[in-house]
Amino acid sequence: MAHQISGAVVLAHGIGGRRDLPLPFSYVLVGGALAVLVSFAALLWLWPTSRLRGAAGGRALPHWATSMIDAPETRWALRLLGLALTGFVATAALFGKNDDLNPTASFVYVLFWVGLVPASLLLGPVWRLLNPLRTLHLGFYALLGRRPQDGFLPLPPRLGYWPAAASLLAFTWLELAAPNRDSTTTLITWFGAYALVHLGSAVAYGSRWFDRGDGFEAYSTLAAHLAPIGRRTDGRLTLRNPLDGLDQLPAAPGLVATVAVLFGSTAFDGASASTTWVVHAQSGPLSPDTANALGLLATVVFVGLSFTAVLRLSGRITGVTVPDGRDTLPARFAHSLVPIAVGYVIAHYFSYLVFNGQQAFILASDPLGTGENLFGTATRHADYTLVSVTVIALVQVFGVVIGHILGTVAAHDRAVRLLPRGAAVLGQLPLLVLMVGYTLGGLLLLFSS
Amino acid sequence: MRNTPAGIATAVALAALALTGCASGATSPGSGSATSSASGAPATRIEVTVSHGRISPKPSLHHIHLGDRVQLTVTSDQPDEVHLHGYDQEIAIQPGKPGTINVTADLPGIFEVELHKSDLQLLQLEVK
Repeated sequence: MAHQISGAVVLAHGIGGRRDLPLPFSYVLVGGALAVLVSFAALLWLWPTSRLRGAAGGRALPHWATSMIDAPETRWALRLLGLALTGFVATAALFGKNDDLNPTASFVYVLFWVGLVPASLLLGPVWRLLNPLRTLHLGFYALLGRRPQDGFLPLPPRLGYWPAAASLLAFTWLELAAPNRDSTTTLITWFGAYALVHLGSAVAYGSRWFDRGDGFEAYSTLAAHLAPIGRRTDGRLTLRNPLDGLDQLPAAPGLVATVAVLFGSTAFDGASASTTWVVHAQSGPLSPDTANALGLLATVVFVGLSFTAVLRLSGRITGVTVPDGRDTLPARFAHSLVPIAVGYVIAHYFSYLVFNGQQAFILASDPLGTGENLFGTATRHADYTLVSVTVIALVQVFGVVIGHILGTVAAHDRAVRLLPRGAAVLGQLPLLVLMVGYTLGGLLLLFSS
Repeated sequence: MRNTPAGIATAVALAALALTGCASGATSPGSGSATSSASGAPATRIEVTVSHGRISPKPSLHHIHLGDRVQLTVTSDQPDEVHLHGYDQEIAIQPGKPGTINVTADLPGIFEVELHKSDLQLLQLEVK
């Protein structure tokens, strides 16, 4: 047996601590070349007028499928599932031991934060139903005799996605730079505060607050725009092209910031794992946690500002007139960043979900540290050979490249729809260069060690 | 042009073939450092000393061949716990007394070694 067990307790500890081998250079070369090739091919040869149909696209599912999925029984089952899962984790956090064998951190950082993406990509915006805060709000408003959407105050449209961007930044700070981030005390405090802020806001503004205010709902919804299942304007569920789903994402204030947080935080997570950064953070004048917090903020701001600047440039060089002003141009193209962000999230977190996700299931059998074995998994070990290094590398490069291709096509379609005919090619060039830059940067991060 | 989505699909498929072709010989060159390539060979020895929060040698990536044995010795001026992630090896160390972790590197990946109480990362093992 290769593993020596030190002491009586096998330490199934520590979220993370393992990361993927660098991408082989041949993968980076092929992936990068493909990204550049596709970008220029799209620019020069892709459809000259907008072809995506947004909410009108897709083939409707049979009536029985829509009624089954939309049935109150289904919706309530998911709401109760969300409450049950939250209750389980909260119990482990509040009443379990604050040590490495507590499942709370694994559930939060692996199953929830990372798992939300594939779940939403496959099934749609699942968090809208699983979200316990929304269910609690529903119950509270029912007691008051109000419909969930009838808030006491009108939701200011200028708020847009800004609260979600702030929430997600606060979470990624927790994930990447907070002291004692695996401790149940820290997690209870953070999520307690989060629940108060968002429940309070929803009580004031109604359930619509959650749509663009709750960071996790926004994350689930953004990823869900790439799902093969979508909803038509008449409410019917459809099987659709992810590009049509993406096309439906409306421009709104704070959308660029939200995507910048998702992409920037993942990029920083990758960059800060290198020993170069570790040496810098540990031996510099600031504490490692402060250095990480600043690095996270800088990366997020860089993504947000570069995207905004590039779109402003496009606006200026094409002289386009945009409804609601040229300042909305970045938000009108932010949807094209979503697949790039999601692709990179998949590349960065795939093996983390597969390996550390197993940990969550193992630790779940003994949530309170009392020696239980509720699901029979307490004595298992995580299998770090479940997926091979080659499979991981393939998932990484495919994730990044496919994300890039989808983003490029989405941006192109939006550009030919918004920009004046003669200037469409020139107007797209800055964004194309930026996207290629992001993708090559992402590939380089995966390549470097 | 209507053919472009098909063109993109073909390009992706060709890339997939190219990558799978590369995949069968997928160890990238230049992983060299002073490690042995046969698993019957002596273990790779790594030694780290921590004093007043200073780590020497500075944290770096150590290249290990899959299957090699690794002997990691840590000495600190504070009582602490050394943890090798992934392999889940942990030992307690006392001030001034070196502690050693012996492990066969049979899991591929990059694994962090850290001191728990001081919350310091000592080094990373790249096993491939």
